[in-house]
Amino acid sequence: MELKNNHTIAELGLLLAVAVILGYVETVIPVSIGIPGVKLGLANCAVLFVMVRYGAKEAALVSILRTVIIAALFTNLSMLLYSLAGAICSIVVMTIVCKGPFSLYGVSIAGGVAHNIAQLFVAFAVLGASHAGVWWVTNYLPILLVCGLSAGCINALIAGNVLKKVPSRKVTV
Amino acid sequence: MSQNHLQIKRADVVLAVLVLLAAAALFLCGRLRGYGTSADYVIVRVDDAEYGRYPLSQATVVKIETPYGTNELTIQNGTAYVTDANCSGGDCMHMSPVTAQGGTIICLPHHVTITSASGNSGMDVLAQ
Repeated sequence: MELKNNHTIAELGLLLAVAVILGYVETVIPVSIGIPGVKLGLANCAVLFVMVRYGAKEAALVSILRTVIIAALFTNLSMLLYSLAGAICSIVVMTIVCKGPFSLYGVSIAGGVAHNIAQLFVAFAVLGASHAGVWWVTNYLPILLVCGLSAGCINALIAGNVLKKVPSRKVTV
Repeated sequence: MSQNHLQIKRADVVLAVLVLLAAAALFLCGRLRGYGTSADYVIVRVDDAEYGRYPLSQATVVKIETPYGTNELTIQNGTAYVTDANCSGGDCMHMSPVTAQGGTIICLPHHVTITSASGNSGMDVLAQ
C-alpha cells in the first residue's frame, strides 16, 4: 500500500469516518422489512467512492476498518463475523469486477450480491445448514439476491453523484 | 471503469438480469418442491440441535433459553411467531410467522431457527 502523502492519509481517514457514520445511521434508523440481515449498506457508498478515487487497496482498507469500528461501537460484536465476511467478499469481488466492462452500477451490484452470499454462508456455518438447508437456498437466497441488486443500484447512484459533485484534488505536494 | 461512472453499460444489464434469473430459478425450485405445504408443528433448533417441537394447533408460549440469550415463541391460531427476544436487533420479532403453509424464523444472535414441519415423526411424543 502506498499512501502517497499526508493529504491522502487525511482524506482516507475522513472517508472512513463518513463510512462509520453511514453505518451508524443505519443502526439508528433500521429499514426493517422483516428479513434479518437485509439492509441498504449505505457505508458501501463511501467504499465505492474510495475505490474510484484512490484504488482497490485503499477501498479494502476503509471497508475492513469501518466494519470493525461499526461493530465495536454500535452493534453486537457477535455480528462482526457476518459483517466482516460480507465486507471482505464484497471488496474482493468489486476489485475483480472493477477491471471489467462495468459501470459503477455493475461494480456495486456485484459487491452487494457477494456481500449477501457471504453472509448466508456464515449463517450456514453458525446455525448449521443441515435442517433448513433447502429453505435457506430456495427462500432466503432469492430475497438476498434481489436485495443485493437493489441496494447495489441505490449505492451506485449515490456514490456516482457524490463523485460528480466532489472534485478530485489536483494539488500535489 | 469509464470516466462517467453512472453510464449504464451492457455488462451491467447482463449482470442484473443474471442475478434476477438466478433468484427466480431458486424461488421456482422451492415452489416446485412444494416445500412446507401442510405443516402441523414447528421445530425449534439452537445451534443445529433440536430444542423442541410444538404443534401449531395448540396455543402456547415457549421460552427458548439459549447460551446466547432468550427468545419467546408464541403459538396462537395456528401461527407461530417470536414475541420477545433479549437481543439488540429484534429482527426475529418482525419476521413473518410460521404457519401451516410453512415459513422460517431465524434469530442470528441467539443461533435459533424455528421451522415448520409435517409428518408423523415426533408427533407420537407430542400427543397429550
